[in-house]
Amino acid sequence: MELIIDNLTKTYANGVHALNGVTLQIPQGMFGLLGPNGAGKSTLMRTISTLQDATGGSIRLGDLDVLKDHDAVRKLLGYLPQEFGVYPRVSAEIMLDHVARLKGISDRKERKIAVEALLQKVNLWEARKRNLGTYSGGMKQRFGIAQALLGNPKLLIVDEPTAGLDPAERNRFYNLLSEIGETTIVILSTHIVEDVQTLCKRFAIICGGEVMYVGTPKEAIQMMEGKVWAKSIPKQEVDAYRADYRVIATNLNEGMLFIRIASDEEPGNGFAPVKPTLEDVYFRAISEKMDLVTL
Amino acid sequence: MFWSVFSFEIQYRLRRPATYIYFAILCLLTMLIVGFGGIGISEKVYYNAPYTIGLYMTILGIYCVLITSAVMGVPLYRDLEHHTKEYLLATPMGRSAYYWGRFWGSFLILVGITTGALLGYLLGSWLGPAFEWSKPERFGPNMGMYYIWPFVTIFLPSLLFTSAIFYGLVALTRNNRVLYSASILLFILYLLSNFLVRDLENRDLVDMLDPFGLNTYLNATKYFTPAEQNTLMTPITGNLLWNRLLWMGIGLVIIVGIYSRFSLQKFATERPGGRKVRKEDKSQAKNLRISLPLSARHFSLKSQWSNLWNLGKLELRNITRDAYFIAIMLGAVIFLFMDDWIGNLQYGVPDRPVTMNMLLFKTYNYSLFVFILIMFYTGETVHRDKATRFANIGDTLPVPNWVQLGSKFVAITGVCILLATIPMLVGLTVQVLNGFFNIKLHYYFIDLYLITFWDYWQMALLAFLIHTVVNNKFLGHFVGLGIWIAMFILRNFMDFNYNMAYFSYKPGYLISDMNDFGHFAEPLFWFNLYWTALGGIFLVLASLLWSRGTEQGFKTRWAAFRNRWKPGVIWGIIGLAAIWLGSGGFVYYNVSVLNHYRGPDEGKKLQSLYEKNYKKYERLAQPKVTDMVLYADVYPENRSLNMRALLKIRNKTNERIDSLHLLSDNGQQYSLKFDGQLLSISKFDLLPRPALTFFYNEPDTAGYRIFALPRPLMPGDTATLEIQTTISNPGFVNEGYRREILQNGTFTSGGIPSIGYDPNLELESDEDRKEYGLPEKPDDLPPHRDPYGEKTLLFNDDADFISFECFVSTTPDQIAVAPGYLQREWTENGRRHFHYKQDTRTDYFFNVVSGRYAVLRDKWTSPEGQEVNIEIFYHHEHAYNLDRFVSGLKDGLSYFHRNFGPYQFRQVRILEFPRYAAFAQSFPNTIPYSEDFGWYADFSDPNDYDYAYYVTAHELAHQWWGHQVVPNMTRGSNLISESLAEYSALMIAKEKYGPDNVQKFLKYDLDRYLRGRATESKKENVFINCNRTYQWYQKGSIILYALQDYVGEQNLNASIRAFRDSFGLKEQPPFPGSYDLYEFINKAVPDSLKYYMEDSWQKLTLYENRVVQAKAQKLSDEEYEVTLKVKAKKWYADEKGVETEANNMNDYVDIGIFAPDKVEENGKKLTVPLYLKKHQLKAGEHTITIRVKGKPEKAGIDPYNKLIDRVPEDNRIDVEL
Repeated sequence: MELIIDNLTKTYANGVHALNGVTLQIPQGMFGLLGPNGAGKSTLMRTISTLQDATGGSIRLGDLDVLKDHDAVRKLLGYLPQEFGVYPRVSAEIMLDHVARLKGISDRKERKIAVEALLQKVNLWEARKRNLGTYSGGMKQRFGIAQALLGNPKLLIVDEPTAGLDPAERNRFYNLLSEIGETTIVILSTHIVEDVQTLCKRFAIICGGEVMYVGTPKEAIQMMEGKVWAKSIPKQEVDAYRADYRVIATNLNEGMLFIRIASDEEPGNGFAPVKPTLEDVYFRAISEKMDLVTL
Repeated sequence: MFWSVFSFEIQYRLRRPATYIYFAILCLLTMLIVGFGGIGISEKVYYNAPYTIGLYMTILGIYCVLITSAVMGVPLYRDLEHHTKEYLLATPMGRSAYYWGRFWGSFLILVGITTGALLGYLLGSWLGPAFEWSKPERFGPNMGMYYIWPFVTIFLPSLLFTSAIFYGLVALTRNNRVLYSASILLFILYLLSNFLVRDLENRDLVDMLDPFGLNTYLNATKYFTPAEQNTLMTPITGNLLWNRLLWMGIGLVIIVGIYSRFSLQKFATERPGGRKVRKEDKSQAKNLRISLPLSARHFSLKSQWSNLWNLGKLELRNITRDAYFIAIMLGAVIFLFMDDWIGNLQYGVPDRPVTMNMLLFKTYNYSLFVFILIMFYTGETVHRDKATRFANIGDTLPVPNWVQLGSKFVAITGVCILLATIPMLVGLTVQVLNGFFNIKLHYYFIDLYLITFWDYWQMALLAFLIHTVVNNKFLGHFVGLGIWIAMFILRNFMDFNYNMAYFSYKPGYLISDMNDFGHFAEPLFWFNLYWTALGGIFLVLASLLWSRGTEQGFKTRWAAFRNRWKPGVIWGIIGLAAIWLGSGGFVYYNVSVLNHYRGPDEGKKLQSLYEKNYKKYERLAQPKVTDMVLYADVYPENRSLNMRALLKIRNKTNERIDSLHLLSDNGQQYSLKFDGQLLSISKFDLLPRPALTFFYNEPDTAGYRIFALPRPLMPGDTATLEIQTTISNPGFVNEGYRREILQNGTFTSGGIPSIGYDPNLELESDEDRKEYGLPEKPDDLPPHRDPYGEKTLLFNDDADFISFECFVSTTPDQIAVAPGYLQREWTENGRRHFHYKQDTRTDYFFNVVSGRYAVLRDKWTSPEGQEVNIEIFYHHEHAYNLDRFVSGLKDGLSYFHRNFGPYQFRQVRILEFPRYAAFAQSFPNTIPYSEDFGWYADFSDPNDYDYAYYVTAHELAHQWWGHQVVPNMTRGSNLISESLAEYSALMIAKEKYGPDNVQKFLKYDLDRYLRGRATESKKENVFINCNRTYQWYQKGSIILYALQDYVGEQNLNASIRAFRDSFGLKEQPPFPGSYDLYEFINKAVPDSLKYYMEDSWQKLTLYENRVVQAKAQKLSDEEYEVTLKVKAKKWYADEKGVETEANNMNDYVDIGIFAPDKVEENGKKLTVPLYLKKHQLKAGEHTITIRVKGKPEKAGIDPYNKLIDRVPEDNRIDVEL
């Protein structure tokens, strides 16, 4: 099964063009969505998750028309929103049991098994009886993960899932995602480039509602091979360099500025070639849409 | 620093639109209320009188809670809400500047906002008369102080108090939800004082307890006459002063107290709510390696239904676990319990906890809580997922809309069921705790689950729709509240009360032990069906508009609406609409086709037409009835009554009579035969079509009809009339009990048309009269000695004395009763027949009663051997106080017989009738007596006012005053009937309780008289011209009681006896008027007391007596010397209530000194006077020294309240030793 997004556009009532002809093909496995704040990632994910309608274009999941057939999509969906709340006076266990029921696991035993497994997977087993209102941010996030995974979704959408997780929890979660990614379409939005590199089979860079790049991380880096150059310059000269070159990163260190530029040809002027990273790809891509002011 | 915070707060607020919106709302609302005269005051009081402005300002204190919580709740919460708290700490601002700067800044703005009400009031008082929104004469001169005084003295303390609470609570709890519970708590305090106000004894407590001072204000001004209300700025003294100081003080203590604990650090850093402990989970990940199981998933319809149910349960749990829900619920239960426990006190006496009352009290305070809970928690439920942001997950779950919405609906239904069940639980508890076991479970079930639940449910369905449409919680509450308030105002103040037009409104009902749910079951069923079907449509619409997902825009929702508009939905709506319209049609058919509903305006119009068309026939020469034979057949099962009356009439005038003028109630139809010849109406009016009756076969005939007589009746001529009619009660009506003919407990005196024009049916209110182009009505009968008045009887100008005979039949299980002695009882054609005959002539005053009665029979024998049969016809469950009725009758018969002359009948009967009306009425030897009037009262406290006994004595006294001596139709003559009956009953009470213990009766009389004159809408007449109930009952009672105290009971009784001897059972005019009684009494009054006769009968006299100080000195073991400082003053008032001080006071006033109350074995308290004598006092201060034997506890001037004293409470004082 594949998720095919074709020329998707979304214009909000206040005139903001959140999505501008987004076209993506997302196969099984982990798919990363990279983009700056306000790029349209969340809009895209909410649209796939049936929370809002598109202005134009289509989304198909296998044979399903995602924009029309909400009910059918929801049966296949697991969704962890960027922001969500819980009922404060209900325990995690009851709430998960309840979500499991709503996800169609109507057999009590099966529900119990599924809920218990997930509580352990996300490391909430000890806290399962506590009311959700008493959970910390990280615990709540893990609860969110657990509910999204309930019912073996065929399409799992996680929007900035690692916010608020400590590094250990984050690793654990990524391992879990990878495991699931073997049989499921997983869409992961993040702005941590490293995560995409380590996790995702394929990824897309979105900026200003448009897809700037789609491919595998490896290809992306390969594409930039020999096109990234670096140099140390005095801080005050940065504006001159900015005018002449496509500056994609700056790093201030002991009064000297270390800048990276993207250029197909050798820029000369003391620039030395460096090994490209996925971050370079990312900044290179979004620099087409927005002015990167990092200083 | 304070100033910068303070001025920032003000500037910030001045830029907020909300500030101006609140101001505008207050201004506009006040302007409309004032301009349209929406404040309920007596007709002679100006809408902008100082009293009225004060009242409005006091009430405003309550309503401003809404604005206060909105304004004072945010200044601190703002920093939490916008997360500005994070850098609050980083500024050098001190906690004092922060706390007080925000508080006073906001408070100043709040005061500014509330001046909108002052402006609105002023505008209303200009625009109202200018645009004729209400009558220009209802507005008096505008004085600045009238506005400023109550605003500052009454309103601002309320505002400060509530501001302190709201501000302080947010500072304390860092949570703005606490504002709701605080508002509710304030409301509870106010209700509590409202609740206690029923009891006269708790006045001081009530005065102090009311945080808004409304009850205090009403108490302080309750005796203000219209003239005083128009000119007097309410003095802030006594309890009102203390109340205002108390609550302002409590406000200050709260805000300062919280300040002392307030810490900026804590405020800015703690989590909202403050009490939740955030605990990181320390456990180690263990079974992380287990793989996720594959779960089978089903999405069958069955599983969806089970999801709906389970989601509903979860939602219900969300609601019922909410601390505020529990708190409000607890408040509701406490109030219901108190209402059930204490009940309706009549003269301070409680009732037994009968089931019908347990169900009545849920419509008191409890219903307000229900309203709050349903409105508020429907909103909470509808918006919960959005508010908690769980919707971001929940909306992506594979749950159809109908399950999502349905679960909310299940939860709210659960709440409604819970709310409907609580009255039963509380009621049963109260009944069991009281040891009362005549529990009627079926009343509980029928009322709560077949009537009340649906009511609550309809409310919830409307709230559901509102919240879905508005899609914003606070706006939703606002709109919901607005709709209910608008309906309330339209229905109650705009003279349009057609229940079908007001969502969820239905005819009021009353359960009666005698008549159960009676004739109310049918209309309630149909109205409930009508509104519930509409509620169902609301629910469907709500599901169509249900917003899911993150987009809430109108377009998105409209698109969703159109998507969901599918055949199933359409058919559902069509089905519900069919039920709605079908039941609506049936209701309409009953209310407006079978019965011709006319609104209050139409009713007034008809009254004015009646007067305009027929006033010219008033006092037209007409024959009088001399004999009556009545045939009445009661059909309780279909609530109808066939009547046939044979009347002998006689021309007692000196004129020839050509036509007969008859007047029937409500256009009742009848046939009329004159000497056996059927007459047709020669002149009558057709009533205009009722505005809401569109299908109208036959127009209604007006009740006034003129028949040309086939032969003129010359002076002295007689003839026979035969009138035949059927009273029936087709279908059901919009509102009203239609209590006369019932399944059980029929009591009617109507049906037979009366003769000639009756001025009592004219429009009463001068304001209405002006609107319909009629002159003012002074409410005065003909003057004393008026020749027409002297030959006409007060209660009935249709006849003098008549002979009466009645054949009445009913169903076999009922007993039918009419005045007269039972001649025969038999059964024929499955019906039970009775023949009653009155063997002496009586006044023309009959009734027919029929019910399933138990009968108690007893007998009273006079010293001379005259026997009187006593019969009590009662509902079998109400046998509690029969002995009190019987002893009231026996003691009365003895005393009246001894003092006023023999009883004219051989029997006296009391008959219970259902509680749809609460009165007792004395017909010849027959006294119908409402179910609510003592039958199930609990008189177990011997100190209670035994009103069953007292009222029975009063009604019995009417056999002398009213039936033996029948007053004529002149000014004030009704005091012969009512004041003498009151006096007679008081004498029985005095005989039974002793002269020192009658004060408890007099206290109620005085209170009611003073209140009565304060709400007088025209003018107050002097006693001898009395024309109001508060005059002939309460004032008459006090005046005659004091009179017997002055001249001696025996002397007064002797002159009353002499009066009876000259007028008793008099069949020929002149009949007596108040002046006749006055003359008889005046003969017994010595010259030294003539001033009292004049003051009390011919003038409006008010005393202002009070005791300032009482000191005692012990002289010996037994003897004490008491020195009293008293002040005496006397006022004369004119008919508008303007008072001038009497300059000639030299009156006899009681001075009394009392030992502690003696308590008898059964707990009865008795007053023990050590000294009680009349002193002749001039106006001014007096020091009186008296030696008494025994230890004095209290002392006072006029301690028994025999005189009419504006402030009766200050007549006694504790003696200082």
